Amino acid sequence: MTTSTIAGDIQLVGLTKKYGASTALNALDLHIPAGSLTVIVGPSGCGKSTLLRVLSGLETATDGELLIGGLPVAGQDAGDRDVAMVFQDYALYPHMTVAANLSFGLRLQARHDRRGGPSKAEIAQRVAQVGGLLGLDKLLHRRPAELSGGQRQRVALGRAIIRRPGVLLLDEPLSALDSQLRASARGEILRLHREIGATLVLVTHDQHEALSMATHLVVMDAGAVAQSGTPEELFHAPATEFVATFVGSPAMNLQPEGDGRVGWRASDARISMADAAGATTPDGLVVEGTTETCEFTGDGQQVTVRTGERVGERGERVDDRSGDRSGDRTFIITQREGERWLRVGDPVRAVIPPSQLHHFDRNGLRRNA
Amino acid sequence: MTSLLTPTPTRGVATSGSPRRGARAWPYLTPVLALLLVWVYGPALFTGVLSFLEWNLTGAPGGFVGLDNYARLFREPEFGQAAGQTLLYAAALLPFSTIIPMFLAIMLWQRPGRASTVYRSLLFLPVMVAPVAVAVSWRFILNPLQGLANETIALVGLPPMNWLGDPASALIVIVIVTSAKVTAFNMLLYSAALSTLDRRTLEAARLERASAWETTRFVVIPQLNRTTVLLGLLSIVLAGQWVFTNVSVLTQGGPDGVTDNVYYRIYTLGFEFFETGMASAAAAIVLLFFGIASLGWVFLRRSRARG
Repeated sequence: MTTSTIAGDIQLVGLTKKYGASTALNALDLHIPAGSLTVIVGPSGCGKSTLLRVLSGLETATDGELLIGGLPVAGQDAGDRDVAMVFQDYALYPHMTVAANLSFGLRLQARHDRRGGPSKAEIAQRVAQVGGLLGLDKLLHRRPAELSGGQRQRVALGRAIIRRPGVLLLDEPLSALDSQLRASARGEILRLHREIGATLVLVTHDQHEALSMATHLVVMDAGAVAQSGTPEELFHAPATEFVATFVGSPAMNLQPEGDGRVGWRASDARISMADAAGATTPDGLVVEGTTETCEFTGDGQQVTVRTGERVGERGERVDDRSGDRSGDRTFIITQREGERWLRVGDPVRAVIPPSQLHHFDRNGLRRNA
Repeated sequence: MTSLLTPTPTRGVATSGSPRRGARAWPYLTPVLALLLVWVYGPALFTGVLSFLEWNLTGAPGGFVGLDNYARLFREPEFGQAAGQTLLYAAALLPFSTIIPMFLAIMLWQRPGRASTVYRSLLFLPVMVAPVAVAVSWRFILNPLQGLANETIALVGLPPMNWLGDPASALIVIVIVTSAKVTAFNMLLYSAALSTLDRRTLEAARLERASAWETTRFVVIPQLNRTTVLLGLLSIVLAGQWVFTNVSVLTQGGPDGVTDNVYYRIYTLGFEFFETGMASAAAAIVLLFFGIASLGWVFLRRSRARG
């Protein structure tokens, strides 16, 4: 596969997409760097899937400019862009074998351009190559109905990359897989990104997936970009309260402070067992404490263990407690002190260093950012 | 039947029932089996028995005549002709039961909306009108002296035609009159098959630079294959029955037997000539022929599915 860094750069300026009276994309500005693995994340209905469909050319923008590889693509039909897409439910051709699914685009190319298009030998060679890259060699003669979910997804990926597009769009590529397959599929996509060198634009509603995969993270809200940058930037310096609560799991805790709000991450809290009557915690126990008020000075504050859940590693907890965020706070305890495990009802002490506090003004925008 | 019409190649799961499970199934199966026995297998068997007896529908069935009914049937030139015409009907109606409804359904499916609903309803109308009423209306339209058909072609200066009396046009007229209903009904079955088709596959094809025709040709039509094969078979087996009403009302098999077919012939033999034995023999032959053809088709498909 050729590595291209010139092609695959995407620039969106004031992009708007309306369906009748409702606005799916609202004057959206965004730059997707060539060769990046850009993850677009946001709550359902934020317009992320619409954005992907506009990028692919399946939908036409109502207004605004879209440049792919530095060239405006407004008038171009879906197939003429240097873009391929992996659909959420894969959309494999059910009547074709894996090999036929992979080669369909190339065979069409050959049909359309009998001289310049790929020859039969070249098509066969590329099917073999992509099949090898994705471990589909032994499945080439099967039909989609005879494949597992993970295998289908690899076929969908293969069908998208066989034409060697500059931009590869992935719509929720992991949502149809169970959690075990998800981890390996995530690795697969990262490896593919390294090997084909295309720009990957991945849409997901799973912010955990977003943080773990992205080189470039875009948080969308109400048809516009709330913030874009590296995952570190968005995690450590969220520009708005929305980004702060959306990125990271468990969600950032927020509470009133002056005319705005102050936020802190559970993972930044230093938990001390001093008051826990000698209680200690094993690695990776999630402790949920309740507090009436929080003070972030002195010795921190006293919380009581309400529920606990052991998890594998720091930050591996998926549940983001998206319900009422005002009362309960979630801590992830990683330090281990002694032998005794924490029990429900144990008091612990939480201290959040002032440098880890995020201050937002009354409009939800970051202060001193 | 509905499961056969879906385009997805889902295979039936063989249930490995224990004998006890089989025993428990009988109470549930009994009502249906009883109905089948009374209305399908019983009459079929009775027909087989009658084909060896001499009977004119009045009084008690007569004596055993062996294969005499079959021999007389084969000596009669009308039956051979009727059999040939049956195949001709099947061939003539095949496009009206497969290709044409398939394209109508695809066109309606590609343009969803209010207009499509209106067209679908209009196209389906022939199915809902009573068959005899339709046939009688056509008899008025095609009347050689005062019919609308001749009035219409007279407008462009064409001479009047004896639509149903001329052997050159009679069969074509029967086929076309019947096709409206067959096409309408099969269009509905194709629409049902299309509704289970994943529209994303069309978008995927579009992203691979497939033209509208290429998408239809390589993505949509192959996914309808199962429906097409089934409707094709049904058409071949049932074409002769579909035209029955129209033949009966419009031509009674004439002129010169060109619009005749085995089903109408069986009816004529049984209920006009009261040759119940011969009619039964003909019915038995038809049943055997299509039974073997259908079974052969099923086994062919099964062995192909197994690879």
